[in-house]
Amino acid sequence: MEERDTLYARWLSGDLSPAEMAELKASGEWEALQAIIEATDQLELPAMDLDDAFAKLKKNQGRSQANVRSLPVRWLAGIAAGLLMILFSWYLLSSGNQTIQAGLAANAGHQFKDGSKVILNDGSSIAFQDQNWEEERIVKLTGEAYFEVEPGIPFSVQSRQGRVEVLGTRFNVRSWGDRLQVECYEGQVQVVSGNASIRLGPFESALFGQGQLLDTLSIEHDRSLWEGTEGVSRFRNAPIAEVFQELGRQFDIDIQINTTLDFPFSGQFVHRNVETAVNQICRYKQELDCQYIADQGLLVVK
Amino acid sequence: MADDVCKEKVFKSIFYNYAEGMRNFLYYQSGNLAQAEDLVQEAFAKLWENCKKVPHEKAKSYLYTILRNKFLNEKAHEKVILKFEQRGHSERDGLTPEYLLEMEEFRNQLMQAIGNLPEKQRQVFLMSRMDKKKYAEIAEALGISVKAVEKRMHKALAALKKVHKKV
Repeated sequence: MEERDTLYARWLSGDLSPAEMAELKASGEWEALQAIIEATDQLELPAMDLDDAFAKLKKNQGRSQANVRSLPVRWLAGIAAGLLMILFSWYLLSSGNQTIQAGLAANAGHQFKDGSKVILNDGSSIAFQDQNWEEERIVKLTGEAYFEVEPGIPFSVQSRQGRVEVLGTRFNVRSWGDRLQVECYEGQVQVVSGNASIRLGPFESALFGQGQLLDTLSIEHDRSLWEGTEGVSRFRNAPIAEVFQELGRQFDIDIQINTTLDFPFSGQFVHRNVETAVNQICRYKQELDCQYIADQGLLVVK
Repeated sequence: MADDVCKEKVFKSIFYNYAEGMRNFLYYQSGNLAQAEDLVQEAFAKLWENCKKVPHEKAKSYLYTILRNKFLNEKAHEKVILKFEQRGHSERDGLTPEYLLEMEEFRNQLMQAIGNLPEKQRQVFLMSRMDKKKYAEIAEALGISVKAVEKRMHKALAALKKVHKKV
């Protein structure tokens, strides 16, 4: 009754016949098996925080009543003037507060009561008071969103690092870490961050960090011409360091830059796969030598 | 009924009993801890939704069935990198640096080999070695026979013992 295909398993559970055991020892396999068991015995996974997880479960149970659902947005691409966004969202109103969240791999769009529109990028969220929208148009933003604002009372976008005020215009706001970046495509926006403040006109962009104005540039690329809903980060003449930062944020990896190369990057990387994304960036310049170490979640750039 | 799963106390005790095992189960399969935690949340949310229909003694198998169904369409052939922590560095004194280095090297290669195991073997191996589950328990979680578990375990050990020869 030799069951050779379960031999090692039964060795482990102490289920071997004396003859089988003797054979294992003689062949030297016993030693090898023993070494594996000793090595793996030392390992463990981080303990799961059950209190935390249970609390999260309870919270999500409560939330399932007030659902805000939005359908993916489809763009008509490539038409310069008269570009129309067709966007539709479907939601249940709760008590006047509204939070809209874009999960990963989906862009969420929303149209406000006055016809103003917003598109959120992956992992971003906004909150606003829908009920008194005629009196006040304030949107709190975490992450990145593109806005089209109908003329009317002041429209304000607030993020951790600063706020953007507009009267009627199209613009993109990106807020992360201690940075705030605003691009204006049409109309005018006033950006205030810390003690710094700037007014942007069409195709102007400003970057703030830690409450200071870091950079202004003119942009050639109107983000409203985004195509499709696949997660992509696009850059036009962006400093290469920023591109890597965005890569790190998108895939939640660490970036180690061992070089002083500094040049503008124009291109994009996709969000679907980190190795592809790394390639898309690193083949831009020959001098860029990138090494992605998957099991450390680390990218080394030389 | 004291054992009503819809009762907060009962539901909570089910959670505290099984959530970590479920998380580990998924992690061994996918190598994605965040995803594993999310799926555990989903499974319990489903259990709550159907709490009227699931008797207390069936809760565990209900939960594991949900987890198994989640992975039916997932890519099973990806290489997986797993991160584990090292428990206590006891008994290090008296060991030569060369030996310690060898041990380190061996461990690294072993980790890689575990990651390279086919998903089914890896899962059984880790449930046995990390969660200290008996074959009968593993069989129940996976919905297969004990013999099938033993076969997978045997294959896993056969593959892993090759690492030893290298060092």
